[in-house]
Amino acid sequence: MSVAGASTYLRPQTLAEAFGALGPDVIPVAGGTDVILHAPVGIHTLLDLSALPLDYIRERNGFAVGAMTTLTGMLEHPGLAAHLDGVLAETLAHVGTSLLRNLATIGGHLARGRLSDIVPTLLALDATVTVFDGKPRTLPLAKYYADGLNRKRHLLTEVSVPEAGPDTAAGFLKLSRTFFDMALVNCACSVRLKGDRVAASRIVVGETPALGASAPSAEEVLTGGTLDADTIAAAASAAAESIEFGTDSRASAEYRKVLAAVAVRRVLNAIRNRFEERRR
Amino acid sequence: MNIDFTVNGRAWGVEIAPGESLMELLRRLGYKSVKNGCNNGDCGSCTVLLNGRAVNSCLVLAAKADGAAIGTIEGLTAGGELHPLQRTALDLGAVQCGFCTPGMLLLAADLLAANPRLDEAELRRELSGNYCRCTGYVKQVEAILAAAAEMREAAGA
Repeated sequence: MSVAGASTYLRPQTLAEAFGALGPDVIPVAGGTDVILHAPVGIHTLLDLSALPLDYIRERNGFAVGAMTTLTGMLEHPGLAAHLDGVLAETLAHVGTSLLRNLATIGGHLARGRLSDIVPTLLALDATVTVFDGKPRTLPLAKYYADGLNRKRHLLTEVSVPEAGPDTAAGFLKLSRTFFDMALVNCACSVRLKGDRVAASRIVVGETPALGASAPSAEEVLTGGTLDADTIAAAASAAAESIEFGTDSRASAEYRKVLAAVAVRRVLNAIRNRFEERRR
Repeated sequence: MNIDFTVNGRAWGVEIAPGESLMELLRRLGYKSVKNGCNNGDCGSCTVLLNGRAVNSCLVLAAKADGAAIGTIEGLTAGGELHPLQRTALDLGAVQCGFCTPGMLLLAADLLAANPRLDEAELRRELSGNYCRCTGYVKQVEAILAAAAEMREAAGA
């Protein structure tokens, strides 16, 4: 593909310079895979962010991942790939194939904010993002989308996932027609136990077809209970009932609702199995 | 705008349009093994190595190749000798019309560089982004795994 009409290509050296260059007919380019396919009509300037020092993964109270890190870079980082039983690696392996992952960056993916298998997992892990809109600030990823910040003038510079102890497990599932295809529905959950009771959880369903969002009513079902089959089934039903599903070319709202209950149940079952394996 | 980069070790300095793709540029320069299949990032026919990693060149802005080393299928051949991936593809009948072959072999080259012990399940999963529309996939998988075994043996692993 190509970006028809683009007449200027900028590669700023600093974040302030990059932010200063943003404007209505300017599009930031991270990996560029989405820009080259879906750049809006009327874009005159491509703002390549690849000279900014944002390609890094740091282990500090969890993981901090620079926005220009490719999805392959994340998958090939041993610590990040092993984090929480490999839930991020499992998720990233479902995003296209390596041909895409070698180009696509986590920052570009999150700033785009649509068609995502990664967002549900990051929401389930309570990820935060750092943005620069004149000055740097850090906020929950959920708030970044809830406030529509991803559509305002800013640059996303980092995403962080917090540390998790042995009392926490997480899982991800993508339901799609083929491995390579986009999800009909996806689901990511995390559960923190205290003894054998659920102290806290995140149940996130994505591609509804909206971007992933957590289901607080389903999380309430789990709180204080054990991860037995009945509780898991009740949480799965609560998630499917409380989420608003839509119809598009991939699936109907009715079908998505059925799939979502299945996905939540399977992910919670997988999480229960992970806790049981750890006890052995 | 102007960019400098290499293709299979040969240096190029070329003028490009800011919005053009690496695939368009490479084909313009005569690298016709880089196929234009879907021009949409789906089929993998335009796969090249960008600094050693396999990518859909239709999804790369040519401007991003400034300073990069690009590899195409021609570059796998060393000193007139076919690369094991090329030879096993021929020997085991993994080539029919040949349109998908360069992309598949370059993907395989990257995968095997990252993991010489790539297993069949992983290979099949990764090949899901490289479409073949005439032979199917059985012979390609056999050929790539045979090349992998040969390459491990040559490396003494």
